[in-house]
Amino acid sequence: MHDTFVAPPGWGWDIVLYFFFGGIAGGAYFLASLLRLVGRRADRPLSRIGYGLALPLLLACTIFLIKDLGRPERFWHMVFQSERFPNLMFKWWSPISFGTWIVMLFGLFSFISFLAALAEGGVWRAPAGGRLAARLHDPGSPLGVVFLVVACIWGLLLTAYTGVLVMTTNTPTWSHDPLLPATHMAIAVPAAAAAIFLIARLTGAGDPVGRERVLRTGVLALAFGLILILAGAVHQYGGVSPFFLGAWAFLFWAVILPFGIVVPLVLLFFAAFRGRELVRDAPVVGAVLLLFGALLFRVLEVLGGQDYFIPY
Amino acid sequence: MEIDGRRLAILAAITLVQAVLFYDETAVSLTFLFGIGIGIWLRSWSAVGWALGSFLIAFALAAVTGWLEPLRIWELIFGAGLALLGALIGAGIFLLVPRGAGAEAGERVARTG
Repeated sequence: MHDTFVAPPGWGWDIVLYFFFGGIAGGAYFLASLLRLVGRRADRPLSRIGYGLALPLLLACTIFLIKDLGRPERFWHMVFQSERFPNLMFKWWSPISFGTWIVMLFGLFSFISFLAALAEGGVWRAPAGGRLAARLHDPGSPLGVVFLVVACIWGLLLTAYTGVLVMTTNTPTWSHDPLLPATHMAIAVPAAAAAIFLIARLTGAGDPVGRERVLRTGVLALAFGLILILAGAVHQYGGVSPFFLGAWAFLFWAVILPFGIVVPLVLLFFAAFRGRELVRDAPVVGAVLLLFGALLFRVLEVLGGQDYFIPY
Repeated sequence: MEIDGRRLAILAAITLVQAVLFYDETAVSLTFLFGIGIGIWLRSWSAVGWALGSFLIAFALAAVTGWLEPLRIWELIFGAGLALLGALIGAGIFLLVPRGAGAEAGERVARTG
């Protein structure tokens, strides 16, 4: 371990789960909107799974974040100015304030999409508001295209901003690593693809072609993520990083990298691009391993990232 | 709903594991994972009640043994919320998605005549 005088931020499981599920929420929203934009009508059930995941997971993330504050009753100070209520609180130079508004607006987007998914699936009989939400998700109309493009971008923003948040903590482990936002994005999208694929497979939603497309997107993002993670490890070499710290190094090199990234990448690549199953039910095995790998990577990042020695 | 011995034994084991995990107070958040797991396992809205009950018993056990020192009411409120939400998501995916998929199939049939 290394000496430093910077105290760790004191993050626990709340933030581990926030990064993991927030990433899946953003990634699922991105994939769902992308499926609407460039997919077939037959892909809509898969898109609805993405929208069905995004809002409830964001609600859970809100609880994680508020719980982590220590004084949960003051959470509204993040949104409103306490001295001049109801003026809104927005500090463009603060990553936390910026992130709060990314999450808030994502909440609005994902709420509209959630309603549209319920109405389209016949789960909810939509009044006028539901019909407007449905029109916003129609890729055949200019309004729908604009909404879906912005929705794609906003989903990715949610996955990436947590990387900015970690960068700006000034902890010696991750601070000022310029690859972190892209790495967060590249971990979140494949995890979301795995979640959508597994749910579709278990419920019979969508068709095999659509599920394969979701997996392909996940495989490409995961390959990009692997490059970024390895580049990050090289970048951190010789510094204070859980990639090279005791038990955390073992977790990364012996568990996460081989079984959470490389094996699922190989299994899913052959299944989705070559039509070959290297093991029985390879897409399911790959997707499950990928989800565990993504969760363990967040554990390594958050808990391992604070495990350095402070000499006082 | 059928309540057999095996199901109760598994739920009791889940409750005990949660209680032990709550030794670290931030681990109360992990109840969300248990909620999702119970929802996916039972695939019924009753999972919400089981997940909530399991969390409340685990929380009480952890509080009585002193693992949750200092005891915070916020942990109880947020933990209950997360157990409930987790079970809703876990079960809801299986209860709502197939209905949606059916609607889509019906729509396709209607469009193609």
